[in-house]
Amino acid sequence: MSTERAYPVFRPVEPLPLSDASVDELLASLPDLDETAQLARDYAARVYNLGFVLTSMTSHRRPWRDWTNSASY
Amino acid sequence: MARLDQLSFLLKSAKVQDIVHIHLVDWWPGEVDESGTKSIDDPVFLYRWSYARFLTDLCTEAFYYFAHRLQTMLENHEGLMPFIDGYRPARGVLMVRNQLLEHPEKTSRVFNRAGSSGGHEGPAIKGSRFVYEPQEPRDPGLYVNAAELKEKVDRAYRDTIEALDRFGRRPQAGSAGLDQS
Repeated sequence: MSTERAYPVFRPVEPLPLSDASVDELLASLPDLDETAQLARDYAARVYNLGFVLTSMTSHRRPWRDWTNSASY
Repeated sequence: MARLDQLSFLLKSAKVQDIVHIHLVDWWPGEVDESGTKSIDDPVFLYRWSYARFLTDLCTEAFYYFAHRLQTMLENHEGLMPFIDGYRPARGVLMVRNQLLEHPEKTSRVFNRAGSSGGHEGPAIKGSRFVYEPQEPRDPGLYVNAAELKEKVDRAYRDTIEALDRFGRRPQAGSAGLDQS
């Protein structure tokens, strides 16, 4: 399973009186959710590589709680 | 992952359309009278102007609905996502979605849909209120809420990735590490 996908650089759908440079400048001031999406992909890749199946777990069986002392935030 | 890509697109779209809406009057060719006022009754302009506002509102509201769904998934009540545990939702997204968009009848009692936009904080859902309307709760703005969401989600994923890496390095039954003990 490949978790790497190539997403196009965001551009407005309609032609606007904004240059590419000014769109880049506008978007640079926003929280970078693309970075967050990459973290989610890194997570999914690790889950897959460790052999987990995402839909096979149930709430009363959270085995990773016994395997690690993680996730206290 | 897909939700985050959608959220990123919606956030960027809202920002661009908000800027377009604000500056369309300046960009549109037209005569300026001696008082410096530009009067535009071009139907194409009016269409583009209201369309930009419509897109800003649409992307902003969609952002909150999708972000709420993302947070519900990360809360992981069903335990479907291994190692993700104890996610605490971003309060801004939760408040806007629950109290201003989805359940105003039960919570905020703010029914006037007039929003506000153009500030550094981003479009605010139901940001314009009459004096006789409830003044609280107030949306701090899309970019503020998106930053809070990013901080929470990043932290959840970083902690989980760290836990998964530790899990991947654990001693295996029958391995040298266990044999020595």
